[in-house]
Amino acid sequence: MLKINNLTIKVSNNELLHDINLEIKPGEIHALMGPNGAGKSTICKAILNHYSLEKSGTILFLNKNITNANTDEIAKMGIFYLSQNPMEIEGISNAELLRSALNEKNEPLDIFKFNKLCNTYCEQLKLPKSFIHREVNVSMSGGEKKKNELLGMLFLKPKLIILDEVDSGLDIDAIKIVSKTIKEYQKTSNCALLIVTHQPTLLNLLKPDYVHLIMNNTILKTGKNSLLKEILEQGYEHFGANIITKKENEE
Amino acid sequence: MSKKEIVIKNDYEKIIIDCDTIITNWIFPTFPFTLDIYINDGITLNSKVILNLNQIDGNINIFSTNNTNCLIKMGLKLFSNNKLQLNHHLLGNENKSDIELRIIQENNYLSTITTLGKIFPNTYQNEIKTQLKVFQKDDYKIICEPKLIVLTDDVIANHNVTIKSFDNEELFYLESKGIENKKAKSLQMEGFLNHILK
Repeated sequence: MLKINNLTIKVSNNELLHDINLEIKPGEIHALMGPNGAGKSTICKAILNHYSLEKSGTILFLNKNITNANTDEIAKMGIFYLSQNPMEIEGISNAELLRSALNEKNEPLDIFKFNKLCNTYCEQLKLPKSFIHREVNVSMSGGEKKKNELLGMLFLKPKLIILDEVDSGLDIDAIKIVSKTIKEYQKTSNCALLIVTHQPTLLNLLKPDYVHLIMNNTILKTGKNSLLKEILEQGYEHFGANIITKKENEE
Repeated sequence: MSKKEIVIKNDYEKIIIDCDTIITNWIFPTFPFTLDIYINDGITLNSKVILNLNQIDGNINIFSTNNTNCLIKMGLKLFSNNKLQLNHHLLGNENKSDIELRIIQENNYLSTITTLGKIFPNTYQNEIKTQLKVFQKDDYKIICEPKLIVLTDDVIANHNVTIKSFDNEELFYLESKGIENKKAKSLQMEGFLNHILK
C-alpha cells in the first residue's frame, strides 16, 4: 500500500532524515517511535509532501509515485493525516470543510444524507450534533480537536491513516474513544495505520504489528512487540550505545 | 430587536435609531453619499454583515449620545476603487462602541478605508474599540487609516490594524483534507470574512 524507498529529507539544505525505507500493507498497524526531534513527524509530513521539505528517494502509494504529488491529490488517493495540533480555521464550519472535501473527491453527499451520517458519527464520537456547525477546531479543547478530526476521517474514508502524536494532551477516556473509533473504522475498511506516539496507552489499545525506532536520522531498528517492550522498558538511551552496528530487523 | 435594511437613495441620508436595532444589510449607491445615523439614549445598534463594494464613495457618521451600545462588524469585499469612511462620534457618556472591519481587495485597484473614533470633551466612561483587519491578496493594495481623536481623559479607547495573508500551514491543513490549493485559498479568504458572522 505505502512503500518508502531510500527517502532522504532536507530542510534548508540540512539533512534531517537519511535513507528511510518503510513498507505498510493494507490492514497493518505501524508505529514510529523515537526521541523528541528524531524526525517522526517529518516522515509523516513528507508522505503528504509538506511544502517545507526537500526530498530524494521515492514514496509509492497504491503503486503510484506520490513523492512530489500535490498534497490534495495525495489526500484524495486515501491518506488521512491527523496531526498533534490540528489547525484552527476561522470562519469555516466543519460542515463547509467536509462538504468541500467530499465535493473535491467527487463524492458529494446531499444535505439529508450528510446530516444523517453526521448524526451517526457524532453519536459514535460522543459529540453534540451541533458540532458540525462550529468553526474548524476554533475554541476547542485538545480532546475536541482530535474528535473533530476523527469526524472528518469517518466522512472521508481513508485507506491509510497517519496519527501524529494524536494522543498528546488527551486524557485516558479521550484516548480510549479515539482508539476505539479508529479500531472500528479499521475493522470495516481494512485501512492501514501509521502511528507516531511516545505513550504506551495508545499503543496498548491499537496494538501495532510493527514498531520502527527512529534515531540518528534514520530507521535504526524495526521489530514487533518485543521491540516495543524494549523501548518502553529501557528508553531510547539504551539504543544510543550501539546505534551504528545494530541495525537489524526482527521480522 | 427590530431589523432594518439600510438603503441609501440620496447623497445625504439621516437615520434615527430609537429602538434596539439590527441592521441586516447596507445598500450603498455608486454616487458619493453621506449617511448620518443617530443612536438615541440607551439604544443598541448591532450589525454583522458581509458586503461587496464596487465603486463606493461614502461617509457614514454614527452619533451616540448616552448609554448606547454600538456593535458593527463588517466583512468588506472590495471590487474596483472604493472610498469608505466610518466615523463614530461619542457625544455623551457611558457609550460602548465596537467596530471591526475585515477587508479584502479582490482585484488590482486601490481602495481607501478609514475609521474615525471621536470622543468629545467633558464626556466620561465611554469605551471605544476599532479594528481594521486586512487580508492581503496577491499584491493588491489598500489604504487603511484608523483614526482616533480623544478629547477627554475618562475613556477606554483602542484601535488597531492587522494584516493577514495566505497561511501556508492552514493551506497545508486544508489540502491534506483533499482540497486543492485554489479552493483552499478561497476558503481561507471566505473564512476570514465569515468569522465575523460566527
